[in-house]
Amino acid sequence: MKTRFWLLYVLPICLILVFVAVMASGSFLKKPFGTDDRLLESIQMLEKQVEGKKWTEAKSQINYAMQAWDKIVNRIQFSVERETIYDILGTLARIKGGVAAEDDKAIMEEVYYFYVLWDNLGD
Amino acid sequence: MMEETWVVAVRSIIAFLTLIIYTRVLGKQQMGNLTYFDYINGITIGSIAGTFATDLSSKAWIHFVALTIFTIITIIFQYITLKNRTISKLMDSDPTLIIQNGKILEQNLSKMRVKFDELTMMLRQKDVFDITTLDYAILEPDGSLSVVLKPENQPVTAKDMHMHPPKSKLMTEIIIDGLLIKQNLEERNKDINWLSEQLKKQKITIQDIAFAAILPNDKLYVDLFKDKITEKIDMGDYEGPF
Repeated sequence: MKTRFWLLYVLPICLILVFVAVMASGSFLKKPFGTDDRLLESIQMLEKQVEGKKWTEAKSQINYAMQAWDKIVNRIQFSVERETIYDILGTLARIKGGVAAEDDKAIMEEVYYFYVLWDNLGD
Repeated sequence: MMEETWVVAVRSIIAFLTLIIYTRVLGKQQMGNLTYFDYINGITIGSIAGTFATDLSSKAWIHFVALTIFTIITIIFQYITLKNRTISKLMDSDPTLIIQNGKILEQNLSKMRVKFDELTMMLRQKDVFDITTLDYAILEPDGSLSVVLKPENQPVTAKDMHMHPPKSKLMTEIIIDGLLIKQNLEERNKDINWLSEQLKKQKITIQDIAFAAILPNDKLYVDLFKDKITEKIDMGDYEGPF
């Protein structure tokens, strides 16, 4: 009787709860867990560096941002849309191109687009 | 690095297990007894589970919510139709009489959009090859046909013959894959000594048996792992290699 109760009620409910946790974890898992995955902070710093035309620092900042994004994708890929993942990757790539070309206007457009994508990621 | 294969694998596992849990919650209505709505609803739930596993352009959560809502609404409707006969009739439709006293009721037939060919096919499936042998035929909400034969065409029963046949019993399986099911043996008021005696007579052991059961007449049916069939029947209809 006890085994039947566990198999028929406890196990399915636990499974559903685990599934819900996996699927709804995007907004939690996008937050930083260490020092190498602080993407939002990195883009905010990059924004300031671009405003101050500090291109050398901006170059290393965007490289850090792209590596941080790679780490975050591993965690959030089961709970967010693939399109958003590609959109953010595209924005980062365009920012990188803008930094290489030292085009601050193009970078600013992408940075603000990135903020919107980041806000909606996992929500 | 994002790996689509892994994402699809994880989502497939979630969709599969969710579907098992939800279908278990929905109950054990027999496939043959499903109404047209139940059938379409089942297909929709299956389709949502399919996109849940493979449609990576939207969040898994969205599909999970849709699957859950469909299941909850189905359960609510199951409950309402169980408690309220009017809604039940609205949802599941009524059985429709399509043959009365051996005559086809064309209006009812066309209302149900059943063709004469389909009617004759359904009659044949019910072993009715002469429409005049029927009193009634009723088209059920699940699309199947029920027939009532005229009294003179109905098969003779033991009751008609004033006979008293022995009480019906079930076949009880007692050995499956060489393993004894003691509980079932006791259910038929037999013990291990009786079984050993029976097996001794046939010069076999429990381990040799793939399936054994006590028949309704209390005799033992035994099927061995080695069937010793020499004459093979070919069910294939062409010579090919498979």
